[in-house]
Amino acid sequence: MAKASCSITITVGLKHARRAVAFLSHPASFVDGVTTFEALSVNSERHYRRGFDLWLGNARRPKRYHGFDHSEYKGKYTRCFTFKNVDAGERFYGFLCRPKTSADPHFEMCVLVCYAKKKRDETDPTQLERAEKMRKDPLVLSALTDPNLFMKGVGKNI
Amino acid sequence: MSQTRHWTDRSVEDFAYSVASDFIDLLREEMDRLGWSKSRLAKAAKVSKGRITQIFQNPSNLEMITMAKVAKALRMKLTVFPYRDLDDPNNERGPINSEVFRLCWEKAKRPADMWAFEAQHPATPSVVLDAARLNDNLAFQWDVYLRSSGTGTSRNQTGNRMTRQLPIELLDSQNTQSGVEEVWDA
Repeated sequence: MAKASCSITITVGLKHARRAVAFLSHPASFVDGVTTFEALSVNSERHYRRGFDLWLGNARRPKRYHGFDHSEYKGKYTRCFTFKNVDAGERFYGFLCRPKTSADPHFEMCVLVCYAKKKRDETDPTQLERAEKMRKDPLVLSALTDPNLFMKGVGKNI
Repeated sequence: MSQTRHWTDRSVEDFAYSVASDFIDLLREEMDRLGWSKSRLAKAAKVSKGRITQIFQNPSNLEMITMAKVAKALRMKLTVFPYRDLDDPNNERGPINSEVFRLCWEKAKRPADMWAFEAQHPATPSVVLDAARLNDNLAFQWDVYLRSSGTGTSRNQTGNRMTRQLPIELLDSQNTQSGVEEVWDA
C-alpha cells in the first residue's frame, strides 16, 4: 500500500509579488479542500477564483474572505483564514504563512485545508482547529520549504 | 491545478463572470450600507426576486438592462468601459478590480467630465515659452542688425521697444503673442 503523502499546490499567484493561494493535500482525513475545490460547480469555482484574485490584490471584501483577530476565539486562530460563498453557505478554511522567509519575508500565502458547507453564518471552530493543526504539522512545514513549489507551483510529495 | 494563465482566459463566460461579480460585490456593499435586502432591491428595481437571487449567484448572465435597473434603484451610477492593460497584455492576472477604478475616480476628486479632470490634473508642460521674453530677444537681435548695418537707431523717439519695428510676419507669429504660450506633450 502506497504511503499517503503531503504536498502543496499553488492555485493562484505563482508569479504574484505579494500573495498566493494554495491547497494542501495531506493524509489526514479532514483535509478535503483540494478535492472539494476540484469538484465544485462551475459558478462556485468562479466565485472562489474571483475571491482569490481580490485577496491577491488586497481588496477588502469581508463577505468573500477574512481572517480571525485576537478578539475571536481568545486569539487562538489569528493565522487562520477563510474564503466564503455566503449565498451557497460554503467555506474553505486554511492558514496564512510566509513561506519565502529569507528570499521574500513579506510574501504571504494562504494554504487552504478543509471545506465546510453550512447554513449558519458563524464559523465552526472545529474547522479552524483543523487548519491550525495543519499550520503546525511537520509534514506541511517541510512541504512549504520545497523550492519546486515556487518554481513550478507544485511541491513534491513528502 | 497550478497555472500561469489566468482563469478568466479559459472562456468568455469566465471573463464575464469575473467582471460581473465585481459589479455584484459593489452592489452588495451599497445594499449593506443602506440595510437593504434582496427583496427590497427587487421591489425598487422592478425586477423579480428570483432574478435578483439568480444574478447574485450567477452574475455571468447579467444583462446591461438589469444592471442599470438595480444600480438606478440604489441611486448609483454605472459605467462600463473596455481598457487596454499594457502591463498585462496576455491577461495573466485577470481584469483589474473595478474598485480600483472607483477609488482612482474618488481620489481625483470625482471629476464629472474632462474639463474637471484637466482642471485638476493639468498635463506637465514640456517647454514653456515666455512670449514677452521672446519678443525682447527678437527686438535685441533686430537692434544688433540695425546697428551693424548702419540703417538706424535701436529705439524710436518715445522709447518704445523695437518690437514695434519688427517685420509684421514675426509679430503675427503665435510665439510673439502677449502672455504666456505653453507647448504641451502630445
